[in-house]
Amino acid sequence: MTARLPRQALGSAEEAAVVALALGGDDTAYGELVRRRQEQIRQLLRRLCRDAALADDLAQQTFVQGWRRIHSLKAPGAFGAWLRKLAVNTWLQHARAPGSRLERSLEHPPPDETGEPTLAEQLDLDGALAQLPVPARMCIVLAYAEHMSHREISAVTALPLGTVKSHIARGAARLRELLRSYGEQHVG
Amino acid sequence: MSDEIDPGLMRLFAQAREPLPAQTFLEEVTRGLRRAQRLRLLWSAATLAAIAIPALLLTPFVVHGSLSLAQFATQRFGALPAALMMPTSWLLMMLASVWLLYRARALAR
Repeated sequence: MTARLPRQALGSAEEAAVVALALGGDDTAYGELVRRRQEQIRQLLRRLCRDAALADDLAQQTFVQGWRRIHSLKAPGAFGAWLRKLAVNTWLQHARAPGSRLERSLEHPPPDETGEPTLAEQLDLDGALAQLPVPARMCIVLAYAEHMSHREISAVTALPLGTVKSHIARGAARLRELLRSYGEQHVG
Repeated sequence: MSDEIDPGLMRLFAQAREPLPAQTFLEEVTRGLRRAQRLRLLWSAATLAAIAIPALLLTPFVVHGSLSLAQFATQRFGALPAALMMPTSWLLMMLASVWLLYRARALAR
């Protein structure tokens, strides 16, 4: 049986220690990991999806999958990268499904529930990203939003390093082209 | 870093990042995790039942088969099976096993 930490101690514990507890079957520790990582995973999926509600659905799926598969995690220190890979795979599975909400959302972007455009919409970044092909969009988001190196992206996406470099170079050029109307003072 | 990164685009991605309210999302994930935990529990119970029920049903046949085999061995080989089941025989067999393990150095640390 794993030792359980009080909630306050969990909140201030090192992530690797919390991951080790979650690996031992402590669901409260896994809940703490969800609390810590939810912002990062939701942001990543929002950039990839363009649809905030869909991004949150996929983030929820990612965390539930993570709970089911946490025993496959090799080292507690690799939890962040492992979870990110899980999120990207969840998104890819959804993107490849025929008639997915993602594909529909790209054709007809859903209006924001509040009626207020989000900051990303104001910058027109998500609209421009949505016009990139799926692999290029994925590589661009991982490089620019997640600050991952080309090699890390290659490992996460299982794409060859040369392909990743090419997607990022071409994708960034296309993004700059699409965002030109936004203004030279912000891009390039 | 050798990776080519456009600082302008990097700035734009940083600007587009805005804080997200966590409360509703965390409640949704908690509900999803509880559902997954219930499913796992049901699955474990179903697996246990799938093993235990056939085992219970087969037990009488297995016991009956073992008894028949023991009876056959007693009739066929006379007193030997009965002798093997005596406490003295068990003790001798255990001593022999320990000696074998000792010889094989299996008990050495």
